[in-house]
Amino acid sequence: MTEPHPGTSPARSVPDAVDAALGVAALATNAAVSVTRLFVRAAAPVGRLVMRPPILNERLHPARVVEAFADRGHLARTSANDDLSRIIAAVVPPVVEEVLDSLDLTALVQQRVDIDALVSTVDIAAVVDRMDIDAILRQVDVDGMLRQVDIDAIVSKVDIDAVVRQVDIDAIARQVDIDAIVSQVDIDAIAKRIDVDAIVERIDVDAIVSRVDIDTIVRRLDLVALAEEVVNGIDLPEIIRESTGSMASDVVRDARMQSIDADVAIARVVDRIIRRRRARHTDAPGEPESAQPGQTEPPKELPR
Amino acid sequence: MSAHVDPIPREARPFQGHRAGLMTRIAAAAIDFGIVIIALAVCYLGVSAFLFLLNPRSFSAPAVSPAVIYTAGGLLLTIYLAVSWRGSGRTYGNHVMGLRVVNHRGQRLHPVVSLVRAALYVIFPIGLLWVIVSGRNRSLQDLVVRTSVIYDWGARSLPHAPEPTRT
Repeated sequence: MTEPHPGTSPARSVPDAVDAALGVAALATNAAVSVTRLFVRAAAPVGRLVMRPPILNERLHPARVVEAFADRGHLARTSANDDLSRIIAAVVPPVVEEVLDSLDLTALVQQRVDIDALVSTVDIAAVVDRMDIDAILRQVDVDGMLRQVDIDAIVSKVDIDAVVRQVDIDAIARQVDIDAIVSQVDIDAIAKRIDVDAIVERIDVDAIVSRVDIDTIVRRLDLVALAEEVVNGIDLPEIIRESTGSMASDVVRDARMQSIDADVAIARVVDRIIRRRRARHTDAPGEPESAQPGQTEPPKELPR
Repeated sequence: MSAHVDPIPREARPFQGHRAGLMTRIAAAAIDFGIVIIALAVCYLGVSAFLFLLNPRSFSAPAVSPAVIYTAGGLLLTIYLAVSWRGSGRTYGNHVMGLRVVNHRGQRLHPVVSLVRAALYVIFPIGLLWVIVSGRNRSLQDLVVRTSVIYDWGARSLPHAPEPTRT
């Protein structure tokens, strides 16, 4: 049993006699309509013959008279409709205005309309499909909206630390192809743009040097090996000999080198005569004080 | 901690520690031989001066037979070589030519070895010529007493050979 709708008459308030009378009337009406339709269908040929008798001129047909009356009636009806429209336009708005003022439409809608059921019947997707989003967006003044936004206030309310803590920096870094990025960078072009002189002029070299612990650096250096390398590079013994050597020492040195030269030459000749296939093994036992590391065979030709 | 500066000329460094060839060794031997000749002459002059001081009026230069000369020269040369090889490992001739005599361990010779080697050189000097035939630049004397003559222009003395343990 549904509750009777408020504002309508309850069914129990109408007497049963009235319903019975209405039922009889409806039945009689249907019967009359059926009889009328049969009569009209049967009398249609006769009516056409009466309205348009073939023996008369067409202008004299009764149908013309009926059409003339019809036109007049149509004209009168339409004019009456216009008058009615004007009356409605003049009367209805104030009436409706007065009615609406007297009603609390909001409360009425909340009380009588099932908004949830109504909304559930709406096809939101179809509505969205019909909308021209681009046209709407074109009409939006984004710049004006942004000018009204207080970015500083928004940013000040954001907890940047919390946001950053939730970001997986490692995962992001793993997805970055550093090689590809670096390969696209023109290092030479960047280097050309750098004004090295300007940078150097800004550097306080004295301040930097004053902070350097020279003693620590010197202690780390292998000065002995460095000195030996320098001495070997400049051939210090040769310089000393040239500056302080006597004629006798030069003669002795030349005599030694010539005798070594003669040793090598004689050995080569003898080896060739006796057809010695293997080279002479002249490396001596022990560790002579002047032996060069890794030097096991003397050169075949003497350097001069 | 000290830096080592090699005093040897760069062109001679590759030969240091290798056995010397024939010409260098002959040159050194010639110098040593000349030194012994000079020493014999000095000895002769010394003896003559001594005889002159004893009897100046009847003095006449003493006549020396070749046998005495050879014997005295041989003894002097043997002693000179043995002492030099035992001492610094080099005679004056070796010193001039930049040579040094070492044993089979690269050390200074034992006194007996140096004496035997010196005697062999005085008795059979031609054995030195085996250097040009040997594939290791060794003379017959080197083969007998297991020694080597190496190029060594440095001035450092060699380490002593360990003395034989007495039982």
